Amino acid sequence: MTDDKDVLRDVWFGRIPTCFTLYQDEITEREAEPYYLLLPRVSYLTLVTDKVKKHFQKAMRQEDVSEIWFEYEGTPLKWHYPIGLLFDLLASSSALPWNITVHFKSFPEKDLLHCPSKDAVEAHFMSCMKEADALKHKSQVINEMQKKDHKQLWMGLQNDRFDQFWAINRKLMEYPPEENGFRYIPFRIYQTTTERPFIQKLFRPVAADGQLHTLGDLLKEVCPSAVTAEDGEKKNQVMIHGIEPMLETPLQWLSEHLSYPDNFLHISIVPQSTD
Amino acid sequence: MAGPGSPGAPCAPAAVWKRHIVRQLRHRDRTQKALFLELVPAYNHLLEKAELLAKFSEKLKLEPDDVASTQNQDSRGEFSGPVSDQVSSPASLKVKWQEEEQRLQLVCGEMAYQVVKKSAALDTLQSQLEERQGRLEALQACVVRLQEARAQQSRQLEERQAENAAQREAYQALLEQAAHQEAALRRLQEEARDLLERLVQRKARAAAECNLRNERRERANQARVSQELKRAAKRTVSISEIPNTLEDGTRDKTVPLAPGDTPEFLESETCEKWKRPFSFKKRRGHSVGGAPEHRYQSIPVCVSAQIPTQAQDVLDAHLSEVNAVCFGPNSSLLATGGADRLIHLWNVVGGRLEANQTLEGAGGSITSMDFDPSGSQVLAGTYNQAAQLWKVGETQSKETLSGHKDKVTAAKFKLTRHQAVTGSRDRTVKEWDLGRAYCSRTINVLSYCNDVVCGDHIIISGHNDQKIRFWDSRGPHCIQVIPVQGRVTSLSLSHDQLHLLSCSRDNTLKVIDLRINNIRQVFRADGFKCSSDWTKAVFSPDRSYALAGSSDGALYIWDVDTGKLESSLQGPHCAAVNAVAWCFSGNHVVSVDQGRKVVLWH
Repeated sequence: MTDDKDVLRDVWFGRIPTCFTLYQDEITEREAEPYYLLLPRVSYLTLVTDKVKKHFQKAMRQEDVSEIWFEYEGTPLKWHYPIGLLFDLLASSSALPWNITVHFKSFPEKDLLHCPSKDAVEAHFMSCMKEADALKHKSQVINEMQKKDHKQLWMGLQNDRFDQFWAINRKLMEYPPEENGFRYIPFRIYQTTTERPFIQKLFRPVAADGQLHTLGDLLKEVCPSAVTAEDGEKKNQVMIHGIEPMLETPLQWLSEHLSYPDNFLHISIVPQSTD
Repeated sequence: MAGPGSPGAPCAPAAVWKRHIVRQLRHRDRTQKALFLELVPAYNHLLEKAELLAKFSEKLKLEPDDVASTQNQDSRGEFSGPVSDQVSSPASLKVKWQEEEQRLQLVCGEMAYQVVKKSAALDTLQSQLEERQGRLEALQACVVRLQEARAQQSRQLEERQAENAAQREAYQALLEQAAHQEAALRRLQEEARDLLERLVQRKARAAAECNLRNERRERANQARVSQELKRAAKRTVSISEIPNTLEDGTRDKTVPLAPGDTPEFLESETCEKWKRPFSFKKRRGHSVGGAPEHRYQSIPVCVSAQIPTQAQDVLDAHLSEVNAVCFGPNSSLLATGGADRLIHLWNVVGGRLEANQTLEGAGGSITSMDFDPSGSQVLAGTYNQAAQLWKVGETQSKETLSGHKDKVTAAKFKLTRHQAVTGSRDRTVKEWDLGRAYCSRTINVLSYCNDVVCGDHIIISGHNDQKIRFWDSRGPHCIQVIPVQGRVTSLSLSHDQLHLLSCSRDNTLKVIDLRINNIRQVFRADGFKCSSDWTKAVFSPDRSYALAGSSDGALYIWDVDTGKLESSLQGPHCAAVNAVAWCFSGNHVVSVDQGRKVVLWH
């Protein structure tokens, strides 16, 4: 079990070194140095980029500053995706640090949602959690919780408090003993190549015969094209939290230990990188 | 570089995948996190430091320009701007400093000018302030003076108020005193009223008793009279001549006196108005001049008077001194009055005095008496400041003539019927109207009047001041004053009313001729001394002799014409002779003395 605890901690404290650079077309009064930051994988962009904003606003005039938005190599970064997901999906094969370009103008209305305040992030986070628990426990557990528990979950995430967060979150990882797992596994499978943002389906962790489903089963079921055929060449990497778990890993265990804080398994399918 | 997920050695399948995952995670962290874990914060730190240094350097650039900016308060905004651009060369700095200096000098000059102006203003203000202070001091001095004046005034006011209060107290005290006095006055007045009431009551009681006695006497009299009448009616009266020698002398007189003899019959004769002239019941309201006066003419009677030689009868007449004696007009009736307040009437019968009646009711000692010309009334003057009138036959006095303030020394009937004259020691002579019993005239005579006689129209009074005064009964004035030596004790008028005999305390008798009003004769004698102030002397009826009693009890008789002492009679008197009387017929002389005796001389 200590391995499990270590896994949880390693997942929580994962970091991505990022270099924020101001877009060169932005009008600055003086030169703006790039800003480096270790971004937590499990958080969201708008939660952790306050310092970035302040740094770059110092170099600019007040009237030129409007809403900040980020992009990587031309792709506007959606703030409502966890940072780890964004990195794994877009920049897992590129060199570190991750270079994000900071924009203050020309907010891309079609691609990005506005994030007016941190309350928007909280609302999004809590709705994801509720959705996850709906899949797992028919929303029983999350609805039995008091408002202060929900607040505690959010504060734990916002302030990067592992113990505070997992004190409540472990309740969401429990399942009645007669079952062997959750009712359904909350997961989303992301691919850059497809049109759909993500794939989400109902999938039971336990088979009819009582056997635990594995990751491979899931992929075969839900996104078969992602899994290599008998070609022998692995075309795609299945990445969660920056690692490629074995396809034999039981899905229930993955959902308990490798979920993001919003209790979802965000799985990225990326093309195999050529070393 | 993403770590390729190469599968590890196929151990127990449950743990393989887990171990794989664990390994993968560690690897990831190594590559992704660990390398940059210290780098990024260090970089950020350096970034911060660079920014700070940039700020400091900017600040240093700004400082020389800051100095200029703090001096000039108005234009501040200019220098905060792009100063950092002008840092470049020291030459430009110097120029800038010089410019700065000039500007500052200008500013200095301005300031100096302003300072001068301000100090001038300050001087004027100070002078104004001094002036104000001076005025303020003057006003304060004024205030102090006024306050002193006010204090003085208030002191004066207090003094006045104190005085006021004191006077008010005194006034209150006086008011109280006045109230006390008024109360005392009221009490005294009440007492006076009480006394007056008691006096009136007493008088009323006395009058009532008087009335009662009078009524009883009346009834007794009437009863007696009726009885006598009855008896007389039964008896046969034999009329016999009773020789009455006494009647002779008075016959002439009695003729016109006949109506006066029987006053009862006279009553029936007179008219209604005069029905009861001698009843002295109150009959006020009749006019004075209604009734004609009845007068009694006095005709001089030339009767030779006998000089008495011996005492015929001696009696103890009174209880004490006998003061007055008087014959009635018919010479047989004699009245004596004395200090015992009684008047005894005597009949001279056969050389003896027989007691006839006693008139009572006098209020004081009898001083003098007079019969009225009809012989029916007796008027007597008393010590009781009144003269009283009796009817002969009635023992009680019916009428009192009061009004004198001192004892009545003489009371005489006037020759007119209803008038009398009294003289008194209160220095008045009063005339009385007997019809109404009131005083018709009061003459102030200036001295004690000792005796009074009346003529037709003359009243003569003799006084203590040794003068004899004559008064006209028709006018108010004193007609004549004749001085004599010695107090006049008595007066006697002759029947012809031409001669007046006066007896005075210088032991002389004087005869005064009334026609010429001078003293004609003066009688003296050895041993003749006037005994008192009321010693009486009389003429004889024919005016040939004067008779007086002396203090040694002797009678002296002088001859009027010759002026010589005719005789002196010694005898029974042991005390001083008070009064003498000569009967109208000239036969008898009666003398009374202080030793209660009455002596009849023949």
